Amino acid sequence: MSLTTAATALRVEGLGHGYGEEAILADVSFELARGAVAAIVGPSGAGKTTLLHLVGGLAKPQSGSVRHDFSRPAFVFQDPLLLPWRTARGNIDFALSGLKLTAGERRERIRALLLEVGFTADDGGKYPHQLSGGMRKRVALARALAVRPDLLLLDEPFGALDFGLARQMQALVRRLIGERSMTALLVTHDLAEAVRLADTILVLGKGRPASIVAVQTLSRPPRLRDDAYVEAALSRLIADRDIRAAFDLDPAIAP
Amino acid sequence: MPGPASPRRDWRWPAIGIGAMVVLWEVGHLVYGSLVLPSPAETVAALAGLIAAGSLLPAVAATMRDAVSGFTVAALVGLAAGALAGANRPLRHMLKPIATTLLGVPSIAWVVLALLWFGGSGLATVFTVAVTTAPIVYGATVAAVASLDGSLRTMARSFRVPPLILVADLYLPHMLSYVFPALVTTLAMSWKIAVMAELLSGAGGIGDRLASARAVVDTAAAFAWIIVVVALLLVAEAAVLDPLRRFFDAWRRELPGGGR
Repeated sequence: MSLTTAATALRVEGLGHGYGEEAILADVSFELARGAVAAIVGPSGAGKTTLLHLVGGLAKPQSGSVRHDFSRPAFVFQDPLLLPWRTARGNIDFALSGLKLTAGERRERIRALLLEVGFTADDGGKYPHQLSGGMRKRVALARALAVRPDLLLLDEPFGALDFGLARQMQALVRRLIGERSMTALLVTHDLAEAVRLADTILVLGKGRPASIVAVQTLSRPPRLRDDAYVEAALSRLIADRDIRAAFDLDPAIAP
Repeated sequence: MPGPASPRRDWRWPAIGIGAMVVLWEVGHLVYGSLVLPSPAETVAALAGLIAAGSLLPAVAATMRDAVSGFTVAALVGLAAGALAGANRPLRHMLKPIATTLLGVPSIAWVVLALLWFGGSGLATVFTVAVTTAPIVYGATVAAVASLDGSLRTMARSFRVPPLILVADLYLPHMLSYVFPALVTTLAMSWKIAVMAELLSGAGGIGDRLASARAVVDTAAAFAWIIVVVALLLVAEAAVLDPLRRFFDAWRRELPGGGR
C-alpha cells in the first residue's frame, strides 16, 4: 500500500469499472496529497459516486488500482442514511461499533461531536423523523467524524439542502477538515460548492465510459474565499473548453 | 420541522357521526319494525340478556382461540416462506403464482373447502383463517427481505460494523418495520374471517351464535352479536394495533426508498 512519493497519500491509476455490460469509468488517474481537499465534479450520472466508492473500498475496481496510506476512510453519503429506530446518539454509536472503545469513551466521543455539529444535549436523544433535513445531515457528518477518519469521502453531501443550510454546512465541513487535518474527497455536481471547498477540482467527463477531462487547482486558502473570489473562479472554470463539454454547454465561450 | 408530538384529539365530530348513526338506526326501526331493524334499546337489552345468560364470554373466547390459532399458523408459515423466498430468487418466482392464486380465492370459497375437508370442527375455522392470511404475511416478508439489500447496508459496511451488530441493529428492526404492520392487519382480518367461518361451520364461537340467531329470526340478538364483534375489533385497534402500526410505520417511512 505504501506510495513512492512522500507527499502523495492517494494514487488512483488507470481505474476502470462498470456494471454488467456497461463500462462506467475508464482510465481514471489522479493523485491526492495528504491533507488536500479535492472535488470530483461532473454531470449527473457521470460515475462520480462509483468513483468515490472505489476509492473508499466499497467496491473493487475491475481494472487499474487505488493505492493509499489511509487507515480509516469514512463516508458521508448523499442521503443521511440514518437508522430510523436509533436516536441521533445511537446512530453515531452504530458507526463506532467496529472500533474497540469502552462505553465511556464512546459516550464522550458522541457527546463532543454532537456539540461540534451544533446539537444540544436534548437533540441528541431525538429520532431521525423528529429532525429536520439539515439536522440529519449534521448527524451523518458527526457519524463519519466519530471514527476519527484520516480520509473523508463526501458524496453530494449538501445536495438536498436549501441554499442557506448548504452554505452553513460547507463552512462547517471546511472548518472541521482543517482542524482535524483530514484528507477529503468530495463528489458534487455543483461547481460553486467545489470552488468553495476544494483545493483541486477534478472534472469527470460525460462520456461513457467517463474519465477525468480537466484538473483545476485553487490556490487561495478556503477561509479567504469570499463570494467575489468564488464568482471569479467559477467564471474561469465555466470558460474552460473541456468543462463546457463535460456539462454539455455550447462550446462557444460566452463573452 | 416535526410538529408537536400528538395534538389533543377533537372528539366533537366523531361524536356527531355516532349520534347521527344512532338516530338513523332509530328512524329505520320506526319505519320497518323490530323484525327488520330492532331499535338500539332492544339491541342493548338483547346484549344484556346474552351477558346475563353467560353465553357471551365462551363465544368470544372460542372465536378468539380460532382466530389467534389461524393467525399464528399463517404468521409462522408466511414468515418462514417469505424469508426463504426473499433470499432466493428462483424460489421467489416459483412461489409468486402460488401466493397470487391463494390470494385470489375468495375467503368464502375457502370456508366451503374447509368444511368439506375438516367437517364441522373448529379446525375448519383455523384453516380458513390461516390460508387467507398467510399469503399477506408472505408478501410483506418477501418485500422486507428484498429491500434489505440497500444503501443502509452499504453505510454499515463503510463503517465496518461487526456482523452481530448488523443483525441486531439493522436487519432485525428493518424486517420488523415491514412485517409488523402486515401482521397487525392480518390479525384484524383473522378476527372477521373467523366469525364468517364459524357461521358456516357451526362449530361454536360468535359466528355460530349469529347463525343460531338467524335460525330463530332473533334480529335483536344478531345485532347484539355484531356489536360485540365490532366493539372488540375497535377496542383492539385503538388500544393496541393502531399505536403499534404507527410506531413501525414511522420507522419504515424513514428507510431509504421507504416512500414518503
